[in-house]
Amino acid sequence: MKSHVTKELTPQQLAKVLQLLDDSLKQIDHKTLRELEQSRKQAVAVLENSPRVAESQPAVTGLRYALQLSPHGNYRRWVMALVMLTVFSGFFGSKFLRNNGSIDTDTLVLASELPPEAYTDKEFVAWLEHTSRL
Amino acid sequence: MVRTYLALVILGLSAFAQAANDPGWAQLSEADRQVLAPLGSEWDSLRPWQREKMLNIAHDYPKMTTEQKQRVQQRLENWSRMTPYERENIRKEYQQFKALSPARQEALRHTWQEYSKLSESERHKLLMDAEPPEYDLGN
Repeated sequence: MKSHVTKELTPQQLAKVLQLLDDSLKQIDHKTLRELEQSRKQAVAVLENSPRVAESQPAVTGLRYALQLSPHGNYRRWVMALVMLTVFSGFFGSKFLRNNGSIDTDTLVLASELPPEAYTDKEFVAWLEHTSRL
Repeated sequence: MVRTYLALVILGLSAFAQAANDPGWAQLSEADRQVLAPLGSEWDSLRPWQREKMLNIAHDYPKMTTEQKQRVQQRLENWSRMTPYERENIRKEYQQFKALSPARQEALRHTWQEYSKLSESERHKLLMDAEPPEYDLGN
């Protein structure tokens, strides 16, 4: 029932329905009129509780606001896709940088014939100066 | 309900991505554990960026020669204990070293080997005998 009421009609379909209703209005008996009235009330009640009406409510901010914008959940999908893209790009991006074939500078330093200590050893610097004076 | 589910999915994905990029010792592959064995006892106390750097070294390991692999294994522990400032200085010095001519690089390596043969007291004497640097005070 809910799906039939909330399904949106195109303007052309709506105009056709209105035309048919107008044409057959005089032929409707009293019982059918009452059923139609009840159906209308139900439809209005469903629409009042739909997210589209809640859209106009203030004091909804941030991600929550974005998630509530669309009655069909389009924004939810976009927000979720964006978050997943961010998470996975961080993960696979670092994987790609690791596996792109180039060797990390730290690896080159550690594998070098001259050890890292040689660059920071003050006594070695003094030794270099000493040997250069000889 | 949908929002709760969505939040749980996002949290789960974030946790997965973080764990994948910042694995504990138990989550490392057998190959990575072998390379990083010198750091095994302290791995779980390393910061995420330190782990990432060490993992980069482990992933480069298969590309090295046997000699290079031995050097990396010997130096890894000391390297991980250096401060970021020290490591950055060494990287800069290394780049300068690589910019030297092959002959000058070889001379420096030879000098280091000679220096390595000196005793601790001889090294200290060298430092003491070194001339103090001259500062330009603008006088």
